[in-house]
Amino acid sequence: MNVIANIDTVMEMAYVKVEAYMTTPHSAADLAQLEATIVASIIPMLSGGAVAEVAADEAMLTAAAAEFANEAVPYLTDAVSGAAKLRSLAPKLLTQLTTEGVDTINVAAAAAKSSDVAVTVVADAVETGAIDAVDAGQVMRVVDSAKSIGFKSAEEIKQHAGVLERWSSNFKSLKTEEAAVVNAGFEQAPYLVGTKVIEFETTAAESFVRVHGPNNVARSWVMRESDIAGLSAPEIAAKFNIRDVPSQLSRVDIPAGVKVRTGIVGPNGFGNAKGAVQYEILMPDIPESWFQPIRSF
Amino acid sequence: MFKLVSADSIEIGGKVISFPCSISGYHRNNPSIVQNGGLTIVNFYPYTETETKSFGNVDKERNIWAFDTQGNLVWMVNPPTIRPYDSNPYTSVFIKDGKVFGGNWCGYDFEINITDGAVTLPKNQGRPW
Repeated sequence: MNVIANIDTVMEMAYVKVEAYMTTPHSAADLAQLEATIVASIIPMLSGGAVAEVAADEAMLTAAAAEFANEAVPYLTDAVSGAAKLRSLAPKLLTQLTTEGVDTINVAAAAAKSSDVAVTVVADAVETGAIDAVDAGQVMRVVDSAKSIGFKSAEEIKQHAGVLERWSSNFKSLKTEEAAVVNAGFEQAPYLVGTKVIEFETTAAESFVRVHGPNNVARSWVMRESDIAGLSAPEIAAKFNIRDVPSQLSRVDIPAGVKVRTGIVGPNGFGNAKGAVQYEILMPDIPESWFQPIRSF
Repeated sequence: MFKLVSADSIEIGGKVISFPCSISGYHRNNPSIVQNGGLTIVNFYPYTETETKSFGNVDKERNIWAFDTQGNLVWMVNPPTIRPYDSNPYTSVFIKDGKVFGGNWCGYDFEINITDGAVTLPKNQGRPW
């Protein structure tokens, strides 16, 4: 299942939870539990960073918040002592979503709390069979990767889904730059304009591959082996907008402590493909022995 | 004519010439040495971590050297005209369509003027790779 689709699923489940609380009569204990749930889970989740589908579902969530404020709170007002706090929480949520708008939510701050929330929601999703454990793991990797890189909006996460899905716990993010800024250093643009390029440092060994010919073995551009699996040499050239169809494949094992950039391939003077994820070893003087031949095409 | 002596040395006109590190491609049985216009043109580039230290003792962006038939140094290649990194060494030298090119770490193939080692980047080369 697509990871981003999984995130949609998780957010939908969160929404269902809110809805359930709105439509079910509650005892005092229920209300106390509801208060705890909102404080610990729903608000930070709706605040954005966690699952980051908030922007896409802004209308739905705003409507949910409005319903919550207009219907659930009056109902709760007649209930027990916990209602007063709930009444203050619901408008706050409504204000966040309607007045400040989703884009103005401090997603970075929310993201700092998001992992714990996401763990809970994803665990629920697995328990109910909405997603399986493997997909849940992928969702969590995306959530954690986005947090690690510092992506601050749902749009960024969607736009860089490929980068996030390939992000490793062995990558320590150093900085992000606009692709246009990085491209300016080159004669023809390697990165997709409008996206971000992330510079990171390896904290443990990571394996990549490089496709090349006889005269361009040791160079900075590499990719994940899984991204060329099953592709012919011309298909690889087309996918990455490479001028010369490669004739050889080498493994590139990068040790800890190496600076690398990653980003999305964009159209250039040679090809119009976009979307492939590439890596660029930034450290010069990388020994040629790092490039070990695997096979010829 | 030249004769390969070791990973980091060749013999031209009876003179043994040593380089700061391995001749690139030597360990893949594809040493980066071409002959054009009476010159023997050699690219050297570190093969091991140890060699990166000795490589640091020379101008790393001029690491293609040309020799005449007596083994005299005629020129060292000019640095790349596009330099996206702090250091942009050449990692290969080769002949294509009768012209000599120096390929470098950041992914460009620069055409080398064999009279003086000046470089130009051909148009429509495509993205660096």
